[in-house]
Amino acid sequence: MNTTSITDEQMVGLFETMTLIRVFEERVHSLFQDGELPGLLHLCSGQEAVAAGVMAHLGAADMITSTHRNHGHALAKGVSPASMMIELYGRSGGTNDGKGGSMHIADASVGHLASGGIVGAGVPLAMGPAQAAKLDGRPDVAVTFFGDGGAQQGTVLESMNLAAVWALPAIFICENNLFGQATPVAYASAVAPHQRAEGFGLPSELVDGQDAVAVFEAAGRAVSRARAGNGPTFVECQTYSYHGSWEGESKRSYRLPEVETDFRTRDPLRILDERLADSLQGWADIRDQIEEDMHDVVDQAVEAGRNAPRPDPAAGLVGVYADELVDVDRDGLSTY
Amino acid sequence: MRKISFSDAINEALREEMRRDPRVIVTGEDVAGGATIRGFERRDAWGGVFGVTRELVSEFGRDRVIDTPISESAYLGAAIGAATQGYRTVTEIQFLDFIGVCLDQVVNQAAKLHYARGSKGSGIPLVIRAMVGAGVRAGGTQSQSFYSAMAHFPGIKVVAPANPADAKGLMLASIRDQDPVFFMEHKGLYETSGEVPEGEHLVPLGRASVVREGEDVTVVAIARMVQVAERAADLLKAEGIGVEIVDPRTIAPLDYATISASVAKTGRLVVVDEDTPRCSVASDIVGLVASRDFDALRSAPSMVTAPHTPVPAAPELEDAYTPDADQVMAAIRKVVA
Ligand SMILES: Cc1ncc(C[n+]2csc(CCOP(=O)(O)OP(=O)(O)O)c2C)c(N)n1
Repeated sequence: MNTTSITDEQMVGLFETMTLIRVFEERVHSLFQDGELPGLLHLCSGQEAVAAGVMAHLGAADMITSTHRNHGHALAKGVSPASMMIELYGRSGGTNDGKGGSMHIADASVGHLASGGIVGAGVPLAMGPAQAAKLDGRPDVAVTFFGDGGAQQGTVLESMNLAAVWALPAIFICENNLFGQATPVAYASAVAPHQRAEGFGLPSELVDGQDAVAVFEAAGRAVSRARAGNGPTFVECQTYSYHGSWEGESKRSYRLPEVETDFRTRDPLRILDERLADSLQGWADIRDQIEEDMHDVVDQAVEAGRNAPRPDPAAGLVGVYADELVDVDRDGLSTY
Repeated sequence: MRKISFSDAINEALREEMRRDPRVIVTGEDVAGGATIRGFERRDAWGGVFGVTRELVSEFGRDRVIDTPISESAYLGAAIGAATQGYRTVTEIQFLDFIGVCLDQVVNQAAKLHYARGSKGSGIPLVIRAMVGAGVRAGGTQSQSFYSAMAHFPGIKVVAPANPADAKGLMLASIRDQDPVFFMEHKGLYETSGEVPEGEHLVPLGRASVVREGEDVTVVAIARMVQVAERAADLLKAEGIGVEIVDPRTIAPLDYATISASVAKTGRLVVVDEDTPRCSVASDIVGLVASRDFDALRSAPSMVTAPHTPVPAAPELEDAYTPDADQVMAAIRKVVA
């Protein structure tokens, strides 16, 4: 295979992020099954390499927008696992004060601008920070994540064109996990999503989204291009969601066993583990330590979620508008 | 009479209408499910995210039960265009919250094509199925009930059934209607069951139903709020308050005559709605009664609605958001006092 420029230290960093995501998501999965967590949850186990490989190039000033399947993006971008878990518990003091829940996790202080329940809606939003960075003359970039299903939305296609004509420092990361709900990408998309990029004037790449190093390198090229003022890039990452579309989804029979097995065999953590075993002396001990540490982090996050206070029901009534000069009451009436 | 669920009642209406009329087709994301997957050629994976269209594809095939890409503007537009060619599409937008991505097709196309064609228009027969309602802890983008926004547009009809029998009857009538109809399905009603007539059971659009009679106060309630109003009415019997419950069933065009007749009898009005209060169906009904039947009123009308906020996700916050029987009882006590 191709020789890589990634350092061992960077690979260890990717492994750590991916382990955090996996352990977090598996805990969320079992807590939901036990009836301990409420909500409509979309997990990203199996897709960790994409979040980790892209986010490794970003700082807090680089903004991302995410989707309904956002836990991995948030963790990789540096959102606190405990704050997220508190939010998932629906308690007070988490990332969104109980107002957002799983689908709306965000924390702009670490450059995570928005997630949300409307497929395709985050992509236009990311054009804004990209435009601002360009107007300000900053080297910052904006990255937007969306699925193979989301790639069929007009918003995504319009944003690709806008990013190209405005030469924005924007990076389009299409996480192709083969399905949008129970609909295969091969049915919903006449060509692979990255093939459209050329027609819009965007350089594009197709990468193995199970291989964190491949994602890291492709994202690195896209980020450098954007930081250098050379405009947007489209990267399609082929990956797979182990937990299907959402937690509680009843029928999984549309997922053919051979595809499931193929992706589980090419588990992103395993692939990276093998690479590190080849190149780093004493890796096994380091790995065991990382796994132990990440379990501790997630245990603490769960404790934080369990112990956080339940929100005061009246807390939902405040914060509808940001402008405090005009007060608005429960019925939406001005009370100046 | 046999009892079936709200969800099964909609499924039965679709099935019967598809059997009767070969030009009725169903489209939407995963309305069949598993398209092109081996073994799913006729079988369905899901039949919609909540299974409402399950097993339609096994009877009618994938030419009539058609999965779509997540491209709402395109497939809603296609349904409007197909309506001009004699097809009647029942298209699913999943959650009403998603309508924003294709709103032009509703507001400027479906609503206006017939009118703009003048005397040459022959209608845009089309049903848009959309789920409404809070209660699933999903947060603000998958829990809203802003059907009033759709009712605002001349040319659009809006129905919101509150029980399985009306769900079936209104679906049959909506499919046969010559105009674009929004069919609002409250997620919290899918599992509720009730008596539903077999075979042809039409509930005409634009006719309210008086769910129960009473002398002291008219409570107009919409969709799941009918259940909430009934609970409040049961509890208030002990206090000697007779509650008349009117379910409009069709929000646009609204059957004002039934509401007016009820208010003429009781002299008091409470409107219960899960939507936010400003520019809503609730405020519209209160406004109609105030402007047309002011003299019949013995006290100021009252609205029980969600607060003017997005729908929060956390259980405590969402429960506080959603109108409940206690709030309805308090409002009723106030207007009868
Ligand atoms: C505008 C809109 N349409 C439909 C949905 C319902 N929905 C939620 S997830 C989903 C599938 C999304 O597929 P994809 O973009 O590939 O992401 P994945 O879930 O596979 O990660 C759909 C259709 C939605 N949330 N928003």
